[in-house]
Amino acid sequence: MGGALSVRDVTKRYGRRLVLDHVDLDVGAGEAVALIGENGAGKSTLLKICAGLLAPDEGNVTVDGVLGYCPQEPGLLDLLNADEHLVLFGRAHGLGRADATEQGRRLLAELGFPVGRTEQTRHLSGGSRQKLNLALALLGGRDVLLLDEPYQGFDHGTYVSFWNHVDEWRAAGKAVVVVTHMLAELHRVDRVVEVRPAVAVEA
Amino acid sequence: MSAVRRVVATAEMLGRDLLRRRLALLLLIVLPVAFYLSTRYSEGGSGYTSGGIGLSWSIAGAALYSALAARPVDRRLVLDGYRPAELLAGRVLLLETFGLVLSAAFTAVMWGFVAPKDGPALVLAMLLVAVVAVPFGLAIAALVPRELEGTLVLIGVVGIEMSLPSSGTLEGVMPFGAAHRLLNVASGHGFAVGPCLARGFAWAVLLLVVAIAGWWERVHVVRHERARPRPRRAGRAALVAAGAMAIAVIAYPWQTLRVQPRSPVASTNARADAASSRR
Repeated sequence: MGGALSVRDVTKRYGRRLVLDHVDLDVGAGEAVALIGENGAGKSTLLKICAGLLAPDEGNVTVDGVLGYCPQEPGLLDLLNADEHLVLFGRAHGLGRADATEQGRRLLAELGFPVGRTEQTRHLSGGSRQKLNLALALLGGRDVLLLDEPYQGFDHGTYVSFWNHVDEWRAAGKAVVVVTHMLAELHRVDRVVEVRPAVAVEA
Repeated sequence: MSAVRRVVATAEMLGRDLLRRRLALLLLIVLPVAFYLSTRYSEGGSGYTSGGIGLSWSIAGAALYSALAARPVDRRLVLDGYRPAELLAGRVLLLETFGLVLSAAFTAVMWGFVAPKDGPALVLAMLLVAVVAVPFGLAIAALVPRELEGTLVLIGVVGIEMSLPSSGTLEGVMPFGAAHRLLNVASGHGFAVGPCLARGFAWAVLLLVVAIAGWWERVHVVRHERARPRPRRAGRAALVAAGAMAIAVIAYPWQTLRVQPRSPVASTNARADAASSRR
């Protein structure tokens, strides 16, 4: 089966340690998939390979559409504020200053980020930084969303809201892959893929 | 057009970042002045060489730290659509502007303390320091990914080469060697200015090529096969050609370009004569 995201026969080693062994994964448009597995199983590695941040040793990945990647650790510039991040990242998608700010602020508002805050990101709480991190991954309209535990630091309300957004993104035809340890929320996705050390098995 | 906007956006955000590091900015300005003044009063002479050392540390340090601070974001920006060269171009644009402004101000300070025997040479030398220091800092950031190691390399290279005798062969082919010789011209020693400039700019190009290649290696992402394929762009041949040309200019036999050192006294007199004849 082909899809918005198609992973074929991907193998990855770190030195002599085999992390992923001939992994296949297909995610269609309008589908949400959860990647679960123990620490070190290779979930983040698989997501990074899908994003293009790591090259697989074998196999290939096909992406149909614009890809959005939300890393586990917010990659932000400490001395810039949220709006400046929106402008900088918006440029990557050809958005002008006003469009990037408007679209980004809307995304941030949906995630419960107090829009209009001018403090530098180093002064933001962990949850607020993560909201900005997620908003940057969504900015510009993405077709395939790769989210690596994007809710870290979220308060309960935002956490619930995040899973509601997953429903909305899926309904909007996006392919969504979420790395998660929150097994209670697995009913919110279409499929669950367990990544085991050096093997990926459909659960 | 969108590429230009991305370059400008990168430069703008780096500028905002730099302006908010007030203490660091103050140190970047004070360091070369303090270094120059301490050497000038402890050792006498023009102190231009120590001024050049201080300025190159400041500018290269700013380039090194700005590149390292942005590293976590750079790959993400590339993943989102920036080209590595656009990020680097934005950084070079901002840092060269900063470096040239700092260089101009610092040249005026040094000129105010000790009038150069060859004023244009002093201006060119300090300009060359700024032009070479930015790609030097960026190249270190690309090759040495950690702050401590990068700082040590920066201090080591600049310190060693500025302390070498300016007429030495080894010093002549080092990154700031051309600027060092021009600083000596400003003090009344004889070196051909044109070849010094050519070699200095060749170093800037070579370091930029190294920075681009190293940076590309660190921030590039795998462009997956897409259901809707995109055209690929290639600039590697141009990069290799620029690097080869720069090496050729740097490696050109320095001995054939050197002129006989002239006497500082004679030089001063000649200038005084010329001034009086103009009057």
